[in-house]
Amino acid sequence: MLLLSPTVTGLLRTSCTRCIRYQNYATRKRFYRGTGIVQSDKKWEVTLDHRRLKTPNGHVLAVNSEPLARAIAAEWDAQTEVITQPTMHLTALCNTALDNPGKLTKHDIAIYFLEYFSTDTLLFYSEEDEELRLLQEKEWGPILEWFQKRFNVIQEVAKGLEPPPVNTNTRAVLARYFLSYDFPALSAMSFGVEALKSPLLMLACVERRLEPKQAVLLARLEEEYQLRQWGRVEWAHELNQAELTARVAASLLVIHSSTEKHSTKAKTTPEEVTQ
Amino acid sequence: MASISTKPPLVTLRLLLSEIRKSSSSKKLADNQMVQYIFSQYRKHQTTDQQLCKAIDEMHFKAKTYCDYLVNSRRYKEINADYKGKGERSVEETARMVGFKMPHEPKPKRN
Repeated sequence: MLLLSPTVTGLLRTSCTRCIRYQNYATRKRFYRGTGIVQSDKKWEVTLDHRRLKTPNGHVLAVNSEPLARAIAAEWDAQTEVITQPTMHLTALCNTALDNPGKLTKHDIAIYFLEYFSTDTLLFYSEEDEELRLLQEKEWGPILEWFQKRFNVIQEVAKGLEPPPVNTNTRAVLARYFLSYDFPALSAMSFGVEALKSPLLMLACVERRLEPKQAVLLARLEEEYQLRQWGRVEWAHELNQAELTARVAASLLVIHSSTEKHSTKAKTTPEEVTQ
Repeated sequence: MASISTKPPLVTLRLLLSEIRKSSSSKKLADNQMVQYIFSQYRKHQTTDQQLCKAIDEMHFKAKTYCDYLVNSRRYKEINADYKGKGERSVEETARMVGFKMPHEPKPKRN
């Protein structure tokens, strides 16, 4: 056989499109050294070296809160040789809020939550397994109780497969609550709701009743229960848990940073107090 | 009074710093903009601990959430990298697995 030098074989291999098979999704190389933030018109922008970060639609990525911009800059800074965009949830959430690819309004998202609410994970208890049911009552019960107290409503759980009724008062209270948030917060909330499969758990997170870790554990309660008997598989269960927690935490960061501007007051620093 | 290393906000702070150290590309941790910001926020809010104020919980909750985010995205990437498949096998590899050999390719004529 004709002997080809390694460089030539390498060239042949890369030119063959069928041979690029070690890549699962399109990646880009890291093209910047440092990341930073700049302020313009009361908004915060992220810079990669001296270029401004933009959304896929070409708008400049500008957010209302400084910590969020810093977190996005840190996220871009954490990329090594290639930029793995599928794991950059904060950037993705801000992109979605700015570009709004689904052309949604606040009302659309609020209606979506209300529809989702009657099929909330926390409203469906196991019927076959008595032990699982007891566990669910022990873990989910307090959250449902907290919800009823916090919003001053009554919500019953499902009997069988039929979704439980949600009365008009509950719907009205929840709609008012959801609409009090701005669009970026609501679109982030829908990302969290879809991860947890439960608007109730997401509300508990938003209201700081549960941490993201705890909420994900409650959302995966049946899985955790089954794991005790069948064992834990790292590439399925651990991976799923890590991904869900990262998603919920990212959406919470966006929600809280979009609401804090209404509530923050400048505090005097400790040095000023002592003076 | 609890010792300094067992106070929950400080435990979170240490976790945050260790996560940022793992992910940051700058060599010195003090150069990182996020670290500088976190320290300034921690300093700013440290007095509220003694007063009955909601803000300390809010800030600590935020710190914990950010920490959760960093830890779990790193964990996700690590597991993914560990178990990531190499893609499809080539025809030769598949043939070798079942004990076959590929037919020889015709040799190009040498002058």
